[in-house]
Amino acid sequence: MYIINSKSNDSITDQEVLLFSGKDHIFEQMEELKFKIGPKSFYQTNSDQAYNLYKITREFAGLTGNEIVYDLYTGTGTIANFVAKNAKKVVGIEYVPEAIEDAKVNSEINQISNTSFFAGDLKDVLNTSFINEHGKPDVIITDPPRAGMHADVVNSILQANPERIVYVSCNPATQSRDIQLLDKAYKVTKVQPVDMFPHTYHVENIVLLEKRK
Amino acid sequence: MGRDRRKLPIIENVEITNVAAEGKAIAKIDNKVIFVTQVVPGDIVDVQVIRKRKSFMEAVPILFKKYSEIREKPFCQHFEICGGCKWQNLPYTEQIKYKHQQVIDNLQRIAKVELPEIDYILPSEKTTFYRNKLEFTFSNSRWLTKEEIANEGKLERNSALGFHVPKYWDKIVQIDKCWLQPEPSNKIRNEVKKYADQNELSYFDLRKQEGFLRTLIIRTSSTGELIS
Repeated sequence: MYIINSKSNDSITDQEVLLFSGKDHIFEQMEELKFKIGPKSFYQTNSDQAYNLYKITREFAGLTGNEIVYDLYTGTGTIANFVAKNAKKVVGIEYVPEAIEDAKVNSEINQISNTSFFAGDLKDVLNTSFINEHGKPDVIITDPPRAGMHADVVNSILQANPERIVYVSCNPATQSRDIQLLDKAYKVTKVQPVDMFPHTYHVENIVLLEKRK
Repeated sequence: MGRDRRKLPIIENVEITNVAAEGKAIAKIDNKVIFVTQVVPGDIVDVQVIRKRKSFMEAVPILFKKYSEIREKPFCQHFEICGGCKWQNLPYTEQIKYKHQQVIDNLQRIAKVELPEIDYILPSEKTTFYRNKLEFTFSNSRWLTKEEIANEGKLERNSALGFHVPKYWDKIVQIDKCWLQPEPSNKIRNEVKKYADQNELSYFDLRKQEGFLRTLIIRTSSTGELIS
């Protein structure tokens, strides 16, 4: 595949990809699920360890099949699709519209029918009317970028008032800042750091927060 | 920066004691924290302070008095010039120890909440060839190593296919073997470079913003498929 880029920067997200020969996508496999990956798709770069990360996330979510799960910063819907069979339904929200299109395709090719995906800025999307329409979440899974969550998003989560929050982070500093903001209503009950990138200083961390009684 | 540096001190025999965020390491002198680059805990170095603030300083090593016993020989020939895999001089067991500690430190200092017992960090089973995606840059401005410059007169064609040199936006280090992505990643990249050179296809000039070849992205998957 190739791109004719006449811009001054080399990001490819806004560029047309032309197929010279072969296929324009590959598949990554996780358990019985397949994920379609094109040249622009986001996908965790360490596939083996991503599988471990998502298994721990699913375990922390403590799903029995009856829960409504919201997956925030869902990207191409990998976590959302990965936990779908253990939940009643999963609602994925993400800023990048192309990623949301990939998330829907990933549900389709895996015959998953209990997911729905929405593109938009979380601090605008996740409001009372959205929650009324799609159901109050029992569990919220959130996997924000390095900057962590916007304070409004933290407030929306507090408003949504789920039983459990599973916070997956690639930046323990912003994660800790957000946990502090959630502390009045949620208690940290599990912490599991995961190394995704050997020989770098990056570290991933999963935290389970449970509603204070 | 150079103007201020004259006023900033050199501190001798600094013992590096821990790892801090963003890959820097730290030493403490008179209860003041110094962040030092390119060192690992256990090193004893003379450092040049490059930045001074009320509560901390930043410094770079200028002379190694003693190398730490935990240091390990980096396995990659491009180590240090290339911006990636900066912790190769630390054994993997030490790397994950510091990562684990970093998570705990952040939770204690920033979140300041009551914590449960924390499970030890889950290491990555693969520590090399673990990535499924790499992006290489073509450049007509190849980074020349000190050895190459020392052997003056023998400098080869000034083009490279590889990664950015840290802090030099227009310089690319030629990569002959990268340990991050499984084969055929290296084979593809080297073959592409050979073809480009044989056919005299131009490499991108970042300053002039012109040239035919610009980036090469290779994606592989655990199912054995690949795209580039």
